[in-house]
Amino acid sequence: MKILSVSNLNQSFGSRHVLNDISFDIKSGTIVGLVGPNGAGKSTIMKDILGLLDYQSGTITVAGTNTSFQDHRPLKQVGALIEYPGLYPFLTGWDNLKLFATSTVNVEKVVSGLHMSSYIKKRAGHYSLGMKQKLGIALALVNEPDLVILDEPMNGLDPQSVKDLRDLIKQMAENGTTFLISSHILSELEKLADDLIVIKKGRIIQHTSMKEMLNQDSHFIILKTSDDRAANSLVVNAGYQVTASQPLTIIESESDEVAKILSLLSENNIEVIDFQHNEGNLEHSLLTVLAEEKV
Amino acid sequence: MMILIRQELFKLFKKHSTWISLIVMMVIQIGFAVMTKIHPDVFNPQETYTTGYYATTLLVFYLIAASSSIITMEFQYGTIKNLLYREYSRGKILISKWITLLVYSVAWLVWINISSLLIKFILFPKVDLGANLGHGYTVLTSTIVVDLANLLTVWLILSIVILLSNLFKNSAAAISVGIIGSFVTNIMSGMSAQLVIKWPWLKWNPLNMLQYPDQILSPSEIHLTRLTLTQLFSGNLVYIVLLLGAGYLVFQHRTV
Repeated sequence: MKILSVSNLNQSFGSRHVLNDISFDIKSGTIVGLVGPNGAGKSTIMKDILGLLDYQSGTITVAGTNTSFQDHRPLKQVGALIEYPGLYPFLTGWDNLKLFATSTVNVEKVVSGLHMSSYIKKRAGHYSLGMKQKLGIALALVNEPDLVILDEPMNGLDPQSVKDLRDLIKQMAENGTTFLISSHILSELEKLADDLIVIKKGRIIQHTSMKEMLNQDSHFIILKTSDDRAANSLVVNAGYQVTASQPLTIIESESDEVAKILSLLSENNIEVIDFQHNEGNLEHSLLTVLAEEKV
Repeated sequence: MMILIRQELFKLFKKHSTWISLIVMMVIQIGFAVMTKIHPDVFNPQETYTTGYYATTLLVFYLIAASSSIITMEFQYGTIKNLLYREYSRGKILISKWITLLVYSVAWLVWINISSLLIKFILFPKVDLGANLGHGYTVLTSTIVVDLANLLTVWLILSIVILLSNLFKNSAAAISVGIIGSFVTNIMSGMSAQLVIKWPWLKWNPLNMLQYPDQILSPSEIHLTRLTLTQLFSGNLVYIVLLLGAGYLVFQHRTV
């Protein structure tokens, strides 16, 4: 079932056209990463979905109901953190959550899930950047929404908090919550997202699954042997693609290539001292996609 | 709508400044009452009671500060996005803020009247609340009627302040402009009477409407305002509606 559907969305600010015919659907319970260079239009898409901007044309539906700048009713089941956390500094973290929460149980749950108990009763004005960011995320999650929109949620979080957030998002997604997350921390997005929407200069240039995106990237076998020069000649003569000789770096094009190469070296009495298997990573894949795509 | 009003009141009552302003108000009232007790020849006990022991003057500044910051605060703290992306329309959010301000104004007025009565009974038992002030008013009824009339004219000023606060993203700037604006308005209101004498059509200007509370107790002021009490009352209401409406339109299109 589609929880969010964006169709032919166009947004301009004066004469500047920032979104061009943006269309995508998001299925319930998935975690979707929205990625692209600065100024590509990620936050604008999120603001349009949330009814914060008045777009020129297009349709946005949340759980099958149209939403717009004028009509926010379908956003009842949406939680969001856009750009930076909006907090009342004169309220405690608890009161900031209580203000928008539908029940105290929800507040307790999210405070416990993000490990905020030690400071939640202090005034938000005294929080560090990371604490404010966590409270902003907690505000987006507090009412257990069906759709959560997070713009750069990892900003300012320490490694433990990043892990706490990742675990919470995964757990909520398993329970059916859908996430649309923009982040420049691609290593984290790689661990989280099921699907990816790549945007450049206001256009979607790719909407794919994380698996497919990673598969677009080459996998490498990196070897350190007792005789790198001989090993290099051997693998080249055997038809493998070598991208570097020091350390010996071979492109892996088939899944059983590792065994074949190790066997070849062993047959020729070349000892393997060290072995690394480099999987494709999101950063490399994304930069390749962005560089190839001419918009 | 009730949820939005409850949330606005929650914020208001959780602000330290709300409680500090209450303490300051009480200190000033008691201080003024004690001064009146010591120097009854300088301060008339009956008159100081009708001003709520100076509280009604202070209240104008409190309400200007509250109405200036109730919108700008949301932009200053970035909380406007949290308010606007929810299921409520911009119109409902703004109206909930107006209603909150109205509740806040009325609550202050009730508090000032109760505290003034307490002070009177403790320090000035001889002041007769039933004494006739003419035009059918006693000390008590004139105080209540003038307070309500003041509430109406203060809301005329507040509706200007709310409209202007749409121009700011910083509460301090909005409050400063609001308070300075109220001084300017008061000065210009005095000049308005002279202008009305010269150009009678100017009697419909909003500054002339601010004379409404004074004319209740001094009906002869009709020679200055050239408007009846009913016209002044209606004029205030019409201007409030127009100014709040203009603020509504601006807020509808304000960029977040």
